[in-house]
Amino acid sequence: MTQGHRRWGLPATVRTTLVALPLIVFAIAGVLAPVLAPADPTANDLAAGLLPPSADHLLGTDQLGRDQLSRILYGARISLAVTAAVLAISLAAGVVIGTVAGYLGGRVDRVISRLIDMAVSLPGMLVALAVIGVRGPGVENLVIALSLWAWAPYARIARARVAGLRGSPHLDALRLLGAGPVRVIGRHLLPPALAPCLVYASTDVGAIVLSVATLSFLGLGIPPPHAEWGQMLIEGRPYLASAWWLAYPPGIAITAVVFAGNLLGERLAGGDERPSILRWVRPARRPRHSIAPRPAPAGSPATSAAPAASAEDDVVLRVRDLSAGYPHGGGLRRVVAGVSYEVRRGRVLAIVGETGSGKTTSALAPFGLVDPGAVVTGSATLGGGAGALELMGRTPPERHRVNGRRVGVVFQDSLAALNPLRTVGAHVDEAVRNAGRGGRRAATRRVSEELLRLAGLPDPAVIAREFPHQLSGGMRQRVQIAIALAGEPELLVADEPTSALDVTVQAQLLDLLGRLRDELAMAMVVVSHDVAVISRLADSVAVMYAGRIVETGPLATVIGNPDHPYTRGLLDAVPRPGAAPGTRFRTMPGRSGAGPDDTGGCAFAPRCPIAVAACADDRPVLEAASTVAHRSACLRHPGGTALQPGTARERDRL
Amino acid sequence: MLEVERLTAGYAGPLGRDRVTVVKDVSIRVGEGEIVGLVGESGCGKTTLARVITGLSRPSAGVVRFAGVDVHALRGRALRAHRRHIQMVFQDPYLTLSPRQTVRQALVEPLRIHRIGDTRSRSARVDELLDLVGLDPGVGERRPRQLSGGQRQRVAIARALSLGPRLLVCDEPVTALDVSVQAKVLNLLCDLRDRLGLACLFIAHDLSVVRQLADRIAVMRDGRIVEQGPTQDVTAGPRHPYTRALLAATPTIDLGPVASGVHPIGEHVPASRPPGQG
Repeated sequence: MTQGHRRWGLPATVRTTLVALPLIVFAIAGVLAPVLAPADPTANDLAAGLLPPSADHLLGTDQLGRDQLSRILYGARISLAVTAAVLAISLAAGVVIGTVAGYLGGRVDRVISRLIDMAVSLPGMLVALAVIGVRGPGVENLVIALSLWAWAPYARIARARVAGLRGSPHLDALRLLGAGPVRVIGRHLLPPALAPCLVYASTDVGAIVLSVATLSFLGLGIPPPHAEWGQMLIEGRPYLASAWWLAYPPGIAITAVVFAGNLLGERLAGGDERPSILRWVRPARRPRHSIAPRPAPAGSPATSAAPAASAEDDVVLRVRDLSAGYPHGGGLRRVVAGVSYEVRRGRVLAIVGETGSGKTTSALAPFGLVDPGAVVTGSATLGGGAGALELMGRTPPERHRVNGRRVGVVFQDSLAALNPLRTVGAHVDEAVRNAGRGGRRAATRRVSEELLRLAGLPDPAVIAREFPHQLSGGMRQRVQIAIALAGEPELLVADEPTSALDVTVQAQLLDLLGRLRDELAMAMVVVSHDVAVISRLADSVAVMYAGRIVETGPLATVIGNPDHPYTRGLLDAVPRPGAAPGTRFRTMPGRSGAGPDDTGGCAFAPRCPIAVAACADDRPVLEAASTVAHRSACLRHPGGTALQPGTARERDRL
Repeated sequence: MLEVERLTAGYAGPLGRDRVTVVKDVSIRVGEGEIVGLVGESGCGKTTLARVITGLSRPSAGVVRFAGVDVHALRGRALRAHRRHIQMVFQDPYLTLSPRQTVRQALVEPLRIHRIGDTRSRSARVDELLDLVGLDPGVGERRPRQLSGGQRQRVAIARALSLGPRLLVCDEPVTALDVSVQAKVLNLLCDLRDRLGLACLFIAHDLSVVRQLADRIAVMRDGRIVEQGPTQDVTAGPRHPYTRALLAATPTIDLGPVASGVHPIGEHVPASRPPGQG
């Protein structure tokens, strides 16, 4: 549940029920009409005609002396019963027809789709008039007349939903398991198709109540002696000036029901991904709230000591004690804690870790490229000597002068990072102008083409006219690199730049990044989940686990002589070229996903093959391992000693 | 056990008329208890081949034989019975499980479809399957969104195993997973081969994974198999230049430059690849 549902301090279910209250009240009133109604709604008493509201007749009487309150209650019965019947018929017919059309596709789908188009384009009221004209008024005919066109929107919604699901792998899996079409449709397609239709139905309630009332008002709906809201409206019309109590109550009842229906539809449609009306009807068992977050310990010790400083001016980015977290239940849930690293000119630092280890946040937080709700602390200095600039606490305009000029960023998802409606050239031109290198249009484009060529795209003039989706993933990634290079940055930050790419393309991109580092003497921070990939490019590595750097050092040392058991486990999971087929990987028990503040000790201890009792209580800090530059946060510092291999069959515990 | 002979297949073009051929003249065999790796880059036709082998799509030419029976000639009850023998594990564990079923429901469903056992024996079978893939019985009550990627893939494997198949076609089963989780799933596949004698056609774009797992490797490019043979032969002495390029590009943690220079393959963009293929 998001905070949005907590306005007014009422849970979402209660608010939804409140919204639907008029509908519910009238439905109950209609059902209980024989009990609740003080009088017979059709009993005439001409002597008591047109009495204003009084204790005897709470809503007065009509021109024939019938009790208005009783007529409203019985009217609810007929109006809502007709509405329910119409909804049930059109919903059932629509969902089944739409689901079948969406599932079968091809010719059946085309025929049904045209049929739906026709039904939707027919003026519903005219169809209803025609049907009633032929068959005469009455409850049954009214239901038929309204259902005849009301099914179409449901069919259309269901068809779209099912057509979208038809190619889904989980249906393929079911077919392979031997499920026939009846089971696939009945069990796996109807329920998801029904959910949006139910939401639409709640808005449709209003429209149908209105239609019933309109037809009755025209004298084509429920025939006179019966009480029906529309019917009551017509009868009250001549007395609008003299006896207001005849027309107002049914008018208000119709308005209230229509309004409730619409509000209900809006609320349900605004729910989250799950079919909210289903949840409303039958609330799902929700997992109990996750364990309350541990408040971040005040002034937690920096996990790392400052490395030996040398050649100050060479350092392009120095990050110190970086922490990032999100407000959560009154406290702060940190995702990154006490991270320190630095990159030198012409060097590549790789930040390696698994999903949720905080690697991306560590690399992007210094540049403000994290969720605006994140709380980031620590310090990050860009450049050394006189040009040094503290990045923390900058305003967006100040960041603007750094990002894109002194720092270029390449994101993982190149399709999402580029605007699909603009050409590649337009993207690079914009970056060039933002960097202050633009001039006249043609001059800007010349710079752009040069950048595209630098990024290894062979025919920049042609590529510049293409749209992002026309390029392959590797080419789009090169476009991102060209954009990042527009400001002639000192530092390039790349977040999983090659993750979604084929191995050959990946190798080419890594070679390109390596070449750029050498030719432009740029510093780079590359984030990756794959140790093997970055070993082609990086000079030094920082391995992250649970929001902290657990080991850092020169690439060759960390890979060749890992100190931290997690690094070792990560390396064990990488396939070896020389291994015989069928060789088992050594695996780590348990699973990652812990946060930096979840335990007071080493976050890896529960999974660690060499953990001792102290590991659960003392949080290790980064200390020199084999050399000064190679540091690891492990109490045991196993160094070169062999670890016991994990058992071959691990339980994937929760 | 599985024989694919001179298979050509494709899918209907955007207008439902002209077929785009993505698998051309492919022949491949998988023996009893054998893991065969099929390697190729996106768009080379791997997934289409997998779909034809499992019977989800039909070939335009060629034969898929399983235990001597032409898979695509089967109809009705015979097809249903055959389905039990070949199962598939899909790439994205987030999409292959229905979001509305609990793990237990998902695992019971195939047993229901084939009317195997009663409520009690089905439940016992589900526990057995969960144990087989290394999941705690408590996982059964969860829904897919409450599971990690590795757990979902284990559930998907358990479901594929529920009918006791003899061949498992795995379409990039570890691509979406973290390296350490990937290692566990690969171990699991090896264990299943050893314990159940399960044959496996393992499709991947990453040679490094395949060569540690597969007994034989087939390399696919642009719909054709360009090289195929025992793993050692293919990785140690690749004959086709494409295989050599793939090997050179494969990331390893051996230090030092594996191969310097740019690789002799241009980036090719398949012109009419619909989303979701390959």
